[in-house]
Amino acid sequence: MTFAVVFFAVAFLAFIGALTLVFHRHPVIAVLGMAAATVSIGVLYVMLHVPFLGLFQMIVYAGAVMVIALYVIMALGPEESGPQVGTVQTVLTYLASLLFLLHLYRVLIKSEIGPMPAVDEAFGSIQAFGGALVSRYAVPFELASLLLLGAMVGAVVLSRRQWQ
Amino acid sequence: MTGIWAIVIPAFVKILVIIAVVMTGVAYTTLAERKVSAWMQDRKGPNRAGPFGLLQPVADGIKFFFKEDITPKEAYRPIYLLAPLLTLFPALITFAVIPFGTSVTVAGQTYPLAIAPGMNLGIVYLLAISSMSVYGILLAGWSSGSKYSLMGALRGASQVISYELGIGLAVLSIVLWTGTFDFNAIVADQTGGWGKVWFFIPHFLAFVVFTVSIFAETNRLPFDLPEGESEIVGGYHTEYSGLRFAMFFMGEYANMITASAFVVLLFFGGWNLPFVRYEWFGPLWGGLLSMVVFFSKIAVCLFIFIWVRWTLPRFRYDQLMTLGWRRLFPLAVLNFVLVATWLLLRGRP
Repeated sequence: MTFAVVFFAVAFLAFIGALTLVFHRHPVIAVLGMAAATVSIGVLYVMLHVPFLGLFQMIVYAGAVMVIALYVIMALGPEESGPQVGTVQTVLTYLASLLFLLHLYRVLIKSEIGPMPAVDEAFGSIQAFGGALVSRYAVPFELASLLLLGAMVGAVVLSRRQWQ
Repeated sequence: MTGIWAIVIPAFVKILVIIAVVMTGVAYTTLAERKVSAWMQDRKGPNRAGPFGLLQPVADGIKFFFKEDITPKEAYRPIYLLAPLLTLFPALITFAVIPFGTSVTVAGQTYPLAIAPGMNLGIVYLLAISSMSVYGILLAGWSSGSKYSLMGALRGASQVISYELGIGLAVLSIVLWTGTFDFNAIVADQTGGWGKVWFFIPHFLAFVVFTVSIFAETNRLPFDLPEGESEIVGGYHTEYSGLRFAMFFMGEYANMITASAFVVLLFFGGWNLPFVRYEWFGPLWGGLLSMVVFFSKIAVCLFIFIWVRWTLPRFRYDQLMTLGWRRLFPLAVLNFVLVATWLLLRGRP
């Protein structure tokens, strides 16, 4: 009972946050909506027996990524703006979003909906998490770090060009 | 007392005790700040309200309460009203995972002295919540609609983000050494056995990085550039008045208390004293004594915070960034690699 109440409250908050991100015209409010959504998703992870992942979701997304986004928007001077329509970019964005939505729907109808399966103590612990990260998922993990390194080098190159 | 009430009532009592202690602590730290600064400058300090000025925090509180709450014309009102709460709230909820003593036994029941006693991810929780505290500063500065506020907010945010790395790495080296995120286990690892010492001796490098970063994280001098009054008036809280300003003030001091508790738990043995065992004093008095020892250590840390503030001049902004990124961050990485190498080659002593 308590579980259901907390779940629906948090899920509702995540939903509202996501909608705010998409529809609010003020960029600062939109970023705050996304921050609220990421924190709520962190809480959902905690409820799914992975408190470690939930807390790291908060540190990385709400505490770092969203703060940087907010910082950049504030430094540039936020302005309210309407949606852009009709460019090639927006059409491609809509198309990609539609594909993603279809994929989500497919996942949803495939998955079994029922009471949460019981898990043992070790599930979601830091030990299990770290072990999986450096053994089974070592390659994706390294690929992700390579991607981040590439992004970092790109950022340095772009800012260098601006200085000169 | 059965079922859920056996959990809820003790938790509620503990929350009340902690809020009372922390809020009183905040009030009297502001007085201590003024008294110690007066002492260091050969003045008397506040001495009108009550004996030795002891009622000064009460007078200040009443004054804040009756001041006009001003919203500037250019402010973005909903965020402007929310920002002070976002500063104070994270500062207070961090105490949920900070253990403040061993445990007390009342009427045959043993209660661990922490609001969330079973939490084995205390350190991660503390880092997660403190990484949120920057929202209050950023939003306050931006929503005020004033250039000084915005400058202060941008300074504050970049400072907090830069120094969080040092804090994280210093904490991680302790975690690597002890193999746990649990405050109780880390405290237990520092006392009560042959060769177990407070971590500020074996982990001196981590201790230095952590302590310096904590000063930047709490926006205290010598790193108080977000509110550097000689350059940007009051920084991110320039436009605030009355109770909303008081909330920023309380948030800053509550953050100091949290930071002190963090230092005490990680590097100064928590509530333990060398050569003293709390079992000697019985289950009730031993527990209460451990609580007193813990809060006394925090008080010493707060005194050092104040001492540093009235001794050192303010950094220049580029010096602050150089210190954070070119000195402390490599030092923290070096320390982390050293600890990891030691563990790989020698194992735990």
